[in-house]
Amino acid sequence: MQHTASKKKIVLVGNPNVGKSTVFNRLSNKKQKTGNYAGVTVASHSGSYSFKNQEFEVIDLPGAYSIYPGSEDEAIFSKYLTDKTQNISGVVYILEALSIKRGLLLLRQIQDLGLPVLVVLNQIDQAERRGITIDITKLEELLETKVVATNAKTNSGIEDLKKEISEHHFRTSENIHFEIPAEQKNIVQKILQNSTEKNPYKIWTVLVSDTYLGKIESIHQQLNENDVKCLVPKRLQTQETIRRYQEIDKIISETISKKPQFRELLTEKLDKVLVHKFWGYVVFLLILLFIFQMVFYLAAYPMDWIDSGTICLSNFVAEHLPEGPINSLISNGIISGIGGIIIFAPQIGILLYFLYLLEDSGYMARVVFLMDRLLRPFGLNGKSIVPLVSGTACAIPAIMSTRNIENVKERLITILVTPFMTCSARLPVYSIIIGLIIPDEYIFGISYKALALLAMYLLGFATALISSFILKKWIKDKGKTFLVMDLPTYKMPLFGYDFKLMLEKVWGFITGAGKIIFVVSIIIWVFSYFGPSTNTKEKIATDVELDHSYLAKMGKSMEPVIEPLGYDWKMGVGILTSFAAREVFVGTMSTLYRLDDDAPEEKVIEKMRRDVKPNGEKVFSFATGLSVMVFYAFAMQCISTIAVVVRETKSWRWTILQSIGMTGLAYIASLFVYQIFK
Amino acid sequence: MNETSLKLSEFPHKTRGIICRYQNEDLKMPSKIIEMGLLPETEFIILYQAPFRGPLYIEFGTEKSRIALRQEEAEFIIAKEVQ
Repeated sequence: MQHTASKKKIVLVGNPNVGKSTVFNRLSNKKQKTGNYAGVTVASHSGSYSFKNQEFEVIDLPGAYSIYPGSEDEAIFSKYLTDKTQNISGVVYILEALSIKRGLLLLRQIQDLGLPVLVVLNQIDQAERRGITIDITKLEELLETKVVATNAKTNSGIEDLKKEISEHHFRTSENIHFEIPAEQKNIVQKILQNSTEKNPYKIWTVLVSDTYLGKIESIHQQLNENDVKCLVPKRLQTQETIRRYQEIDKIISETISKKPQFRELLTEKLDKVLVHKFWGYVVFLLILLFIFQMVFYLAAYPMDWIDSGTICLSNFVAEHLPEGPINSLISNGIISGIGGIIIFAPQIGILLYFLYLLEDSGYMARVVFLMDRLLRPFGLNGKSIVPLVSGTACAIPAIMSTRNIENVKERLITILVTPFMTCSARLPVYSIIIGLIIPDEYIFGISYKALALLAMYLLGFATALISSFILKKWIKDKGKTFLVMDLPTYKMPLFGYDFKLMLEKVWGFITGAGKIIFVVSIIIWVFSYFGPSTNTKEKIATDVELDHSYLAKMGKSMEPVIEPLGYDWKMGVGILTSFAAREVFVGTMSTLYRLDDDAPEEKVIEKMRRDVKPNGEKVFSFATGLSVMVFYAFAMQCISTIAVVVRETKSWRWTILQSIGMTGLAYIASLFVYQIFK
Repeated sequence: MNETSLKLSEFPHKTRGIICRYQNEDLKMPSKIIEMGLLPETEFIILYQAPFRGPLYIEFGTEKSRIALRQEEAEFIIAKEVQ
């Protein structure tokens, strides 16, 4: 492609929590393709910018501490750097001024792989504030690279960085900084002679990495038994790390001077409470409560506006378009279907925004610390708490965020149980049903409705824990489980950037769900507008009453299956359509009840409340409502989640087991609930 | 070797210590421990521990890095008190 040839490709690399995403955001302020979740890069994503009439593509890789991967997200990183670097013009390596030592390990490995590097020393102001002086000229000399000091948060140094990139000040260092140990030297030499690869360190990395670094087989064929004996990957990796740190210590002592007793005051003070044996948990619970409170109370206002707006628009269209089927399709089908979903955008947005802020501030690592011991009896890792909590927004990014769980079994269990967490797509369903079946009363100033919703969240969480406990006994253990995790200093979150990310996600939700609902609305409308004719001359009647439409006919044929759960045919249709995505249930219901247009001014929820079965019973009785909610709590009803589970587990078997297991559980549980409460 | 050396998992909290070596004959120690900079001769202090013998919260090194480490991982590290 000519297009990419003119565009220069640069890659951002660095440890986790060094402000890489901030630099990325500052650099590529246009056309970002973000595939990331709550503040952290999970997959490589790219953006672009132009500087002095030149186009640049920036690829942001997940953070890592070394070239040898320990988890799935680090594997993405290592694979990229060892396999796909042919057409990049350079690596921008981000060092955080407060943890240079740790950052130099990976920098040296990347330099030794023969990649051209430019170093960014980020958060330089933070170091200065703590009385740390860094001799940048000396650092450039010892690192054999250009070093650009930046403070990405205030945008200082970013122009310099763009200039250095455009003038191509990437440097490939001439000598290798790690001397291959004498015992392995011969093997590496032998392979060098028979291979097109000319970089001895690259061969070394393939030899001493146990799993991911590719092309292993062709090299391993060249080894004899004695060679293999002296290649114990783990021992050699350790040896490399220790030797490299010896050199790094020298660099540090020659370039950095600091006051003897600097302290991380903010982090010290906050952690006295936030990781406290008792108060730490109290604060975590309070934060969660606060977020949920905001989700319901703050979102109520925009939701009301959207609701009235939808009704207005729908009536406006109904009045101003010529009467007929198209009018009915647009005003009753499409507008009310899509309006039924947009109304939940504020709730989802608020939830996501708070989760982004928590992640961004460094607090999530503390939650992992607090929860690790409590989650382990269930076969989960402390790191599982991040997917579980972000699962309350959406299971898809949550499942992707399991990539940093090193242990395969713990990661699989986390993936399998995360969809039990109450995601924001279930919120519309719960909200509408709770609105129908729970009285508007208060106990100690707390509304029954809020309590009912809290109970649904707890049900999801409890089910996730119980299922992981069962899965733990069932899945064979692979590898050792461990938790070695950086606890970053607290940072002021990037309110603006997180807001932008949130808007993107919410827009994605609206358009994604909107498309499905658009199609579903049309299908539903078509099948409800037409019906079998009672007149013998025509086969098909138009503009029939809903109860006599094809849709009703199809819905009613489902009744033997859904009747024991207490559902009528409309709910059956709703549940069927929501296998595309849960929130479609509400869109379908809105469409169905709007179509039954005896009172167009009335809100859909009022129509649902008034609806009765032929025998005079309420359609949405307490037992039915409860049964619907339980069904939605357990059923695997989201095609996108299924797709992401397949991708992340690389196993159809687990995906199918999960889908069948969850939906089966949903059916049985709803059956019990309805039969007990009816 | 110093007679007061202890496993990091048994090391007293809020006391300055220094890492002596690893106990890792069967190579079960996660390499991340070393990669993150918990190297021999590094000074550290255990600041907190999560309840029920949960992870340790350790501050270490000249850059005051903070790390969370499980009790089990701390077994691999042998340390002594700073005099």
